Amino acid sequence: MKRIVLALSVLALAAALAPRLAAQTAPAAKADRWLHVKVEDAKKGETVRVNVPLRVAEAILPAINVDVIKNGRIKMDEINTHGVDLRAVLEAVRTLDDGEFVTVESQQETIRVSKEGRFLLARIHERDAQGEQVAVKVPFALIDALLSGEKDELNIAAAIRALNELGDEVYVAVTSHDETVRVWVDSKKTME
Amino acid sequence: MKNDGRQRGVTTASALLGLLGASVLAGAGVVYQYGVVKVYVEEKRPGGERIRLWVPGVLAPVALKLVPDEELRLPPEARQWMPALRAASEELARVEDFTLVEVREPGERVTIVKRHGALIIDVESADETVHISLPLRVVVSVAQELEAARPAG
Repeated sequence: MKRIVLALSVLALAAALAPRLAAQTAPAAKADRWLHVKVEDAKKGETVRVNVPLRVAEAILPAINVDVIKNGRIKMDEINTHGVDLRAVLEAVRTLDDGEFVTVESQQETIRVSKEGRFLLARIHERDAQGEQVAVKVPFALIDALLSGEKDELNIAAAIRALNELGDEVYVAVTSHDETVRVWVDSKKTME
Repeated sequence: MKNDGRQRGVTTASALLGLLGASVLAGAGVVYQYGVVKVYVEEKRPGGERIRLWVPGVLAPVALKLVPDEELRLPPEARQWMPALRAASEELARVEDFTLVEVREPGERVTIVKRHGALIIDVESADETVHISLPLRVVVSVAQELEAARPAG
């Protein structure tokens, strides 16, 4: 009788722990990639840190079917490009040699847009007391992924997949007198 | 003959006891897998309230099954987010433990962490302490139930 009780107990325990054990013995999957956002405001003493596993973002997007977001794509009906064909412009930029091709200088700020290898770069330097500097680095592969859907939509799901494939990179960096913002992707789950 | 009957009775009782033990163990296993929903709120002012809630997560989907369908109906604008909530929870459960959000400012700290299959929200401020632990399996089950319920209206 003791054997029956023992056997049933072992069976029950095995049933309860099976999923956990299976998870532990499963072959190691590809390392997760993480999107990090860090905002620091030295004046207010505030820090905001957000870490998002890209695979979670990838899983959520197809499940969102709300308003203009459908299957990981955003309809751009509301965005007016003033008749400019974004794809054609980007294709033209891609064929250019590396260098700066837009420079806007005013009393308040300087804006520079350039192409450096596989990246499109935008830099803004404000001249006021805050001296804010903004640098945005967008890989062409990311732009291609974003524009891979229909003409009037942004393919966010494809963009997330592209981010997953690209190397470690800082995409947005904002630095001012008392505030810094950074958005980057790497394989570390923490910011340390 | 009498001894045979007694023996059979003892065997049946032992088998039933064994089954009961196994059921309790299996039940404990299920409760363990679903985790526990924990809510702790403490107001820091004198005489402030202290709320402590500790509910086995397995009860949430069971309770939802008992709720009449018409009571479960969500407004369409809330219901359409249930697949995303379910997908997020399922995927979060597969990712290693990590800090999703951390906000620090003078006098207040907010963290949202994924740890041991649960989403843990902690708020520590001058006014209150809040700790919420929500097993992701529970979120998945609840989202599934709410998604399956017919839409309101």
